[in-house]
Amino acid sequence: MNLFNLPHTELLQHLINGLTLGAIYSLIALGYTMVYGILKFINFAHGEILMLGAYAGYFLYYFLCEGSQTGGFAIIAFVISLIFAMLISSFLGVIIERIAYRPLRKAPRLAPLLSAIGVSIILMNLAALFFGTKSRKFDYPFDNTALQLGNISVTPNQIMILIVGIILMASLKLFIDKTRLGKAMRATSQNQAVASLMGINVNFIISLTFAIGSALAAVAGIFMSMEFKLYPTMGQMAGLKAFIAAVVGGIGNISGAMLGGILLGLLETFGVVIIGIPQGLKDTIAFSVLIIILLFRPSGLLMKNIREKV
Amino acid sequence: MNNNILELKNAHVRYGNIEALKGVDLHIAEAEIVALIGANGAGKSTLLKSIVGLEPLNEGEVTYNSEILNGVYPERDKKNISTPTDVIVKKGISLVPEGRGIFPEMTVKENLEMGAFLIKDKKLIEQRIEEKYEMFEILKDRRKQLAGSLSGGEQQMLAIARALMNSPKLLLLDEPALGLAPIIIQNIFQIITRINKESGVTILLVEQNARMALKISDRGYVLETGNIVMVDKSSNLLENPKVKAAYLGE
Repeated sequence: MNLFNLPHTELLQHLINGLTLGAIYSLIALGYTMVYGILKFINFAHGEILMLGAYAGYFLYYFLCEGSQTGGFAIIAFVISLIFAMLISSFLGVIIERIAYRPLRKAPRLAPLLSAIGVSIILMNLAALFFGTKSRKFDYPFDNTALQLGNISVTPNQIMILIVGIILMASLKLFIDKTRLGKAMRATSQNQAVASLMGINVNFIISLTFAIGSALAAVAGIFMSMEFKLYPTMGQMAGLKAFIAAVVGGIGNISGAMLGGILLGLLETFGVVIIGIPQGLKDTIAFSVLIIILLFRPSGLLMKNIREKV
Repeated sequence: MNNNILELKNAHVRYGNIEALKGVDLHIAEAEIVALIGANGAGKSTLLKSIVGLEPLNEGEVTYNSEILNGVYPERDKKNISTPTDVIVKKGISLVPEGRGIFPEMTVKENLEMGAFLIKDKKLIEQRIEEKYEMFEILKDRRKQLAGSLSGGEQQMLAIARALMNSPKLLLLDEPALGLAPIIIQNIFQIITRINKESGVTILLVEQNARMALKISDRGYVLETGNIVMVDKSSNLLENPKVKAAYLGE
């Protein structure tokens, strides 16, 4: 089967599935790219921040509704849990940076990277210890029966993921482009010493970056626990793929991370249905894309090379 | 009571085994233009960085209006206590860094806005940006361009304009003439003089272009491998045979 003899409706169906997956990747990729933009290092504990945020949201949601309810109250409880998950992840991100990365800021670049991998392993195992290794499922607070739009079926959950994803990404873009703090973030990512000469508290900006990136990861974590499952190592593969998405878009570039995530979601979905890659080998798509990008456009799709004139 | 806005006493900075500043004493009075001249690697940039807290002192102290900004306290196990750079900037010191340090992927206007980061009043920011556009007309034409696309001279003007956005009392300039065409250098030095005469901003000017720096300054210091070897009125330094031989190429 190929793209050209695929019926239109089926194409549209896969497009929606791909976009949903892509929106989740984008939300995670933003955290990688924002931290990289400012600290020039990959926060390998980002996936675990996502996982712990998802658990936090899950537990609060079940505490509030005692599970398996749908309707008005469940939706309110869900929104509260989502915000709670974002706050917990933000807090975690900021604390991890304080404890594990800040003391190493002047160390060789390998040191914080190893520290991040260490934090990731610790958090994953703590989660397994306290929450168990069995996977859980975040129940939908609404009736998730697929809606039939012509021949396409879309679940309310997919619609929510797409809408929330778009809103969050658009707000982030606006924040970075237009607000005083957002501009300060960009300034800090371009030159930390000079940013401090502007009166910008660079440590505060770094904490803010971790807070925002982690909050977005928490949202992705909740979405993943609804679409798929919740388990202690869920952040691993998702984190890795989102990292690839960030590299594909151009690491350090906000729009690049959004584009890279969406692109990867689409490629994974269409790779299976069009090229016929077996479902079990789906994960190879992301890594192949990474290799191709690194070979032909190592700075990523959206990276411009503006050099400072000396 | 002294009227020194800035004082360095016995300032030492070490990088491992290398000592970049070996006990520098320097003072600047209010509304003065002071030139600091010296060859490459003499420690000029390190000295400026120590004033804004980007380079912690290993010994000695920097005081601004009699308040210690960066120094070593014997009573605290000789640990360096340096005020964070953003706090120092808030106190009224701006540094135009070597190589200009503009934010290349931000527009000219955004660069200026960053210079006013500490100001919350949006009207005041707009007003100051307009003032800078009057002072540097080229920046007005270029306001929507990315700063990285400007020419070297334009970038230097942007860096100076940006440093002036929060109306500093003390302006530190690190090699503003570096790599620029003579006509642009002249223009930049005129602007520096104007900033001092019209707004009363105290200026510490670090330059390799010793002749120009000494012409517009009141006093000058000569820094050689981490030591101040001469201090005098700039007019005297311009006539000094040693300075002439070593720095003025005569």
